[in-house]
Amino acid sequence: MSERMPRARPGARRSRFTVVAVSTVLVLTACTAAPDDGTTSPAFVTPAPPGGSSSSAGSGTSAASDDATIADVEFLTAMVVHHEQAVELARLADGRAADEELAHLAIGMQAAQAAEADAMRSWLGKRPGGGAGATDHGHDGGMRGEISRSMLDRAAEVDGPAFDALFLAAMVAHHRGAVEMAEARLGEAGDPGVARWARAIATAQSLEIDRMLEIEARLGGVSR
Amino acid sequence: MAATVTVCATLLAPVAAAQPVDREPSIGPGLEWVAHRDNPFRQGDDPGFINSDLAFTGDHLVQGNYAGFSVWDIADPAAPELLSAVSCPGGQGDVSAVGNLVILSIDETLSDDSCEARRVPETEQNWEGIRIFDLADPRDPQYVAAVRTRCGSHTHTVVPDPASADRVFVYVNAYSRGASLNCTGRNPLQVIEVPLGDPRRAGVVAELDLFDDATAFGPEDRVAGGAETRSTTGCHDITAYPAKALAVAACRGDGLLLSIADPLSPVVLQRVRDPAVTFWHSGIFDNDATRIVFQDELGDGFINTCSPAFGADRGADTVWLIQPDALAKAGTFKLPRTQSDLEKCVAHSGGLVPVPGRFIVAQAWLEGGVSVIDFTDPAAPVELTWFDRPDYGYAMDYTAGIWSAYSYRGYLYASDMYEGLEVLRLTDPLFADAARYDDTGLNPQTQPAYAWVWREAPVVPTAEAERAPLETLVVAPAALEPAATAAVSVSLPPGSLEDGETADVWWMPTQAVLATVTAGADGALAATEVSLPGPLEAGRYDLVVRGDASAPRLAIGTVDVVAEPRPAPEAEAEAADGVPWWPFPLALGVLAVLAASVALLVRRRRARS
Repeated sequence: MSERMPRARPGARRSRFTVVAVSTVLVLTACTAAPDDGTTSPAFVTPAPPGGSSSSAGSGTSAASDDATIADVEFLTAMVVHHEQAVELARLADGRAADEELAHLAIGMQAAQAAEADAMRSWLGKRPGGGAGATDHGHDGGMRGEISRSMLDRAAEVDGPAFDALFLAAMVAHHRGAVEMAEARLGEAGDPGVARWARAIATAQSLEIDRMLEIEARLGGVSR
Repeated sequence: MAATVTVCATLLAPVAAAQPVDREPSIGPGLEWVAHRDNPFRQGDDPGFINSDLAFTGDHLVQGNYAGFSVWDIADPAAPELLSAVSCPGGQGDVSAVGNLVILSIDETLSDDSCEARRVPETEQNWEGIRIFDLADPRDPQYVAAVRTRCGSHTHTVVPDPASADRVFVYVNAYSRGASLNCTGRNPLQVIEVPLGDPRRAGVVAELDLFDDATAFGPEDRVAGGAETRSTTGCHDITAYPAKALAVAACRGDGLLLSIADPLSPVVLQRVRDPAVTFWHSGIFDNDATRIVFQDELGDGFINTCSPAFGADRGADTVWLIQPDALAKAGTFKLPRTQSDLEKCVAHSGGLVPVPGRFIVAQAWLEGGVSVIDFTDPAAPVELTWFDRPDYGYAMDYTAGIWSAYSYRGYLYASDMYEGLEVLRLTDPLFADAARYDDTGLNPQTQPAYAWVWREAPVVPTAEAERAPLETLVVAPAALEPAATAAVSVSLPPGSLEDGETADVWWMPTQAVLATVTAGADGALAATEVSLPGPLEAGRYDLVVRGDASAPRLAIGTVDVVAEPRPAPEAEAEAADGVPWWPFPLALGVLAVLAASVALLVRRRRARS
């Protein structure tokens, strides 16, 4: 995978992802070091804190711990699979969905989740432990609201209102699972970039849940 | 294009020159790429070291970063010099500059307010807010104040105090982000006061919610078939236009037009929503404050929305007319160049390019690059030119590409998250006035009112009492004979103009500019020869020098054209000088009479004796 990151610094990267007992000092060194272009390094300065300021908050010791990275990798590995299921189901809506709004929503879901899944795969591809088998850590991968193969097969065989009902039932549960996965990740320490990503996923999928419930209510389905 | 390639090849640092050839940008017509500088913080593809927004103060450009900020000397825009890279982590590093002060937004939960702080989970005790630095020595900026805010600061906006030049206000824009210790619910607008003479005393002075539960966009407000619009849990960004006492707020699910006549109590004038908009991200006024362009950050900058899959009205710019009781949508603009799905692309930050009578914006589209867009006809916005790198050959994590692009002193400065700083120049004559605009500083989210004083001929006062003190322009020679044309030299003593400002020499008989000059560092105008348009007939004519910055002040000089001058007799010349001629013959007469009298007396005495 290193050929995919021509300007990355594998040493610095590894120091952030070594699994056991990397000292906080080493991690901070990697984060604040000057870049490889020596011509700019003399310009680096680190100001002292402002006089009389209260620099008091939590110890922060867990911020750079190694579990954090595992949490990140597990979250995104699970989320890629999760997104792929949504994309597969959403793709079936074309020509099968009866409700126009639902068909429209499915097109948007397909585009957004396919793009996000690509981005997550790319992220994982660049991290040690982020490739195939990343979930083989003995941890719970945390997949919730899975759309099963049998569900997808059934969806492929129906159309009209039957498809709509099946789609809504599966996708609402699926999205709720994604929100739970994102919130679980936000409750742990880790890469702040992944945290931002988790927040975005939770927000976007919550909105889509609301939308689907509206459609379901309009179609006379059971309100959950 | 050949010239551009040559210029770039000589300016690119070795690291940049080693980039694969296929990362060469596509550059549109009338745009010159004059300089590139690498992001000094960059750590490969690590997103913890990406650049963010820009602010300008005099010759200094401050570039925010998730790991601190960079200070560039841009006295020569073609050769930016890195003065310092201040390591002080905490995204997203939205930045403003007020004189020597740099204000930085921190929107990540940190262990404390120091530059050695670590990132901690939102659910732990943490610090986030605003940092203030002193740039008196731009090579060694000092960290002078930290102000904790409720929900960090995603962006911020400097608003001057109309009543005092001694302080500014800072609007802190942030929204809640889910599971968090401090940052929950709908985040209010917090206002920080920064005393410019003693920034250590900066602190929160006001807090207000621009919404209530009825006016904040919520899940129930979504329109069928519309975008997955975000709930309004605070504002993402505010652009103030102090000269018009207005501001535009982009608040996720809502757009607002505010009155900031009292900056401590902004008042909502208009509220606007749009089923096509997912995320009200930012807004830009036109110079007359009659129109606004809003950006929609669909997908949070994490995906490519510049593709047919997302459509032409999503993740786009929307143009709104400011009408007395509503904002009326008048058009949509989406980047016309489809981007690769390895790129992140959506409407992002930009600012006005000051062109008289037009509404032209320079705007970033992340990996979609920079676009210069003419919104003059809001129903038919058109891209004038662009700067757009191809994809990396793989997808960056989260977000990448150009964060923002702004016009300053006639150049466009673009902040690329990973690549660094790009300096561009618009070469079309349409931008001659923009190129001439000599900003003293610019926070793009605090829009200046652009005035193009040099486009209108000066008006010379006719009343002698008004005119006399302005007659400081030295013209040599001051008198001429009638001629087809003539050359004279004009000059001004030190202190007459602003230091280094641009000034025009006007020939008032025809209201023509004879020369455009630059004042010296002492505010003097060195002797400058100008050619007077003829034919020069007898009379007295005015020359005027007016500086762009010192306007409306004028310096007036005169040229006398004297008809048929001939050698004058001495007496006449003296008469002309106002000395009376008659005492001399009178004196001669008196002397003659005296002499005759004396002669008569002498003769009589001789006769007596």
